[in-house]
Amino acid sequence: MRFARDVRKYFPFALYSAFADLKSQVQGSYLGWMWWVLDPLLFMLVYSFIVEVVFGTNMENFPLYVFIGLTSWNFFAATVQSSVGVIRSYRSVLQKSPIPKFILVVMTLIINLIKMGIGLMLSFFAAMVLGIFPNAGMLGIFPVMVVYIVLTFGASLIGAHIGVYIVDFNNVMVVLLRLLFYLSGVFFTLDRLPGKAKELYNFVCPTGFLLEQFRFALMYSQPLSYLVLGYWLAVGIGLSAFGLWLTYSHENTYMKVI
Amino acid sequence: MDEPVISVDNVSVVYKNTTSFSYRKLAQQLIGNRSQSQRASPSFTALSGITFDVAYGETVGVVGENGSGKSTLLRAIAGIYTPDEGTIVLRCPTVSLLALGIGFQSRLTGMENILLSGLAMGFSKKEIAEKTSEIIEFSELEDFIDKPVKAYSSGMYSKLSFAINAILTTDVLLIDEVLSVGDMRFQVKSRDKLMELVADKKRSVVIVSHSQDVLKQMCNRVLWISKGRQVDFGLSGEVISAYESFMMQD
Repeated sequence: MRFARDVRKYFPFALYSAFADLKSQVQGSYLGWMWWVLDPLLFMLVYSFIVEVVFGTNMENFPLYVFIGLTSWNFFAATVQSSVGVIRSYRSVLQKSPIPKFILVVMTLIINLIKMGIGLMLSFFAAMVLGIFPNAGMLGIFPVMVVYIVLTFGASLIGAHIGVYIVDFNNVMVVLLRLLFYLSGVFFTLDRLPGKAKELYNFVCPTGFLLEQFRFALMYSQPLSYLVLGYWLAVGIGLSAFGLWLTYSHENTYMKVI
Repeated sequence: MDEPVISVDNVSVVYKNTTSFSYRKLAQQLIGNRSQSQRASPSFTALSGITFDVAYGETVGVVGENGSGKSTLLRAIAGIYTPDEGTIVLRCPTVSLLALGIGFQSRLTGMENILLSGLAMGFSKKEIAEKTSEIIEFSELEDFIDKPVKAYSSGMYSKLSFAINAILTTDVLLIDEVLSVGDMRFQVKSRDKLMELVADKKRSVVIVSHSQDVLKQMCNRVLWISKGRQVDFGLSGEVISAYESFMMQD
C-alpha cells in the first residue's frame, strides 16, 4: 500500500524536519522555547482578567481551565493554519524531491504536538499545585489526544489541499478559526447550555467537545463521553481518508500550480 | 535481452488551467480587465508523445532548445510530475534528481543539513550515517561542518550541497545540466566526480545538457525534443549532428 510505504520512507524526514523547525524557532528568539508556554500563559492572564475581574464571574481554578483550553486550542488552530500554506512554502523542496505532500502536514502536526505536550505537562504540574493530584482519570487524556490528533490531521490535509488552489484561503481560515475559537468555550464554560442543546453541541463542535474532555481528564476526574469520542474518531478517520485521497490524487497538479 | 531500467512510453505532461484562484484575479475578470484574464491559456502541453528507454548502466542524453520540456521530462521520471498520458516504468529501487540544497535550513549546521537533505531525498538514517564522513571530506568544509549554514559563503554552500548529491547516489541518476560549483579547483573536482558517477556501469543516467561535447563524450544514445515533442532518439553522434544542423538553420 502506497500510504504505508510513504510513511515508512518519509516519516523520518517529517520528524527531523519538525525538530529542525523547532530548533530554528528557538534560535530565532531570545526566550526560545519559553514562548511555547508563555504564549498561552499570557493569554490566560488576559482572559482571566476579563472574565473574572471585568465580568465578575467566579469559577474555581479558572486560570488552569483557560490554560488547558488555550494549549489544546493552539494545537488545532496552529496545525490547520500552517497546513494551508505548507505545500506552497515547501515548493523548492518539492520541485527537487517527490516527497508525498501529506508528509508536510505530518511535519506541521508534530511541531504543534510537541508544543501542546509541553503545555499539557505544565498543566499537570499546575493542577498538582492547586491540589488536584494524579489519579486514574487523568489517563483519559490519551484517548482524547488520539481523537484530537486524527481529527486535526484530517482537517489539515483538506486545508493544505485547498490552500494550493486558493491563495486567499489563508485569510479565510483566519476568520473561520476565530469563529471556531469563540464557539469552543476556550475561556468560558459551556455549562449554561441547556441539556439537549449541549448534547447537540457535542456532536457539532469538535474542538469545544474535545477541549472539555481534556479538562474532564486533567481537572475534574470526570468520566469521558466515549460515545461522542467514538463519533469524532470516526469523523476524523473519514476526514483523514478523504484528505489523503485528495492529496494523492492531486500530487501531479499541485506542482504545476505552485 | 534485459528489460530497460527506464521505459518512457508515449508520455505527455499537460499544464492544465492550473493558475491558482485568487479574489484579485476574479475581480479583474468581473470588471472586464480582459487583457489580464485572456493571458491565462486553458492548457499548455509541456511534453507530448515522448517514447524512449534507458538500459542498465546506460547514459542517455537529452537535447533541445530552451523551454523544450527537458527539465519537465526529468521531473516526470523522478516522480515529481506524473504524466497526463502514457507511462513511465522504473525497474530500479531508487532514482534521484541531482539538485543542489534540497531541504536546507540556514539555521542548522552543515552536519544537520546533511541528515535533513538526505532524508528529504528518501535515504534512511543508516544510509546517510554510512556516507556522512565521505560527504564531509568531499565538501572540504572541515570544522565549518559544525557551524550553521547561514555562516557559509555561497561557494561553501554549493560545495556541501554538491557533496551530498554526489555521494548519496541512487541506481538511476537524473542530471539537469552538468554542475560545476565552488572555486576553480573544486569545479574540476566536482566535474570529475560527475564523470565518475556517469561512467559507473552499474548506474543508469539521464543527462540534460546544452553542451554537445559533454553529451558526445558521456552518452550512448540521445533524445532530441523540441517544443515538447520528440524529434529523434538514437545514437548520440547521429542525433547530435542532426540537432546541430537544425540549430544552425534557426
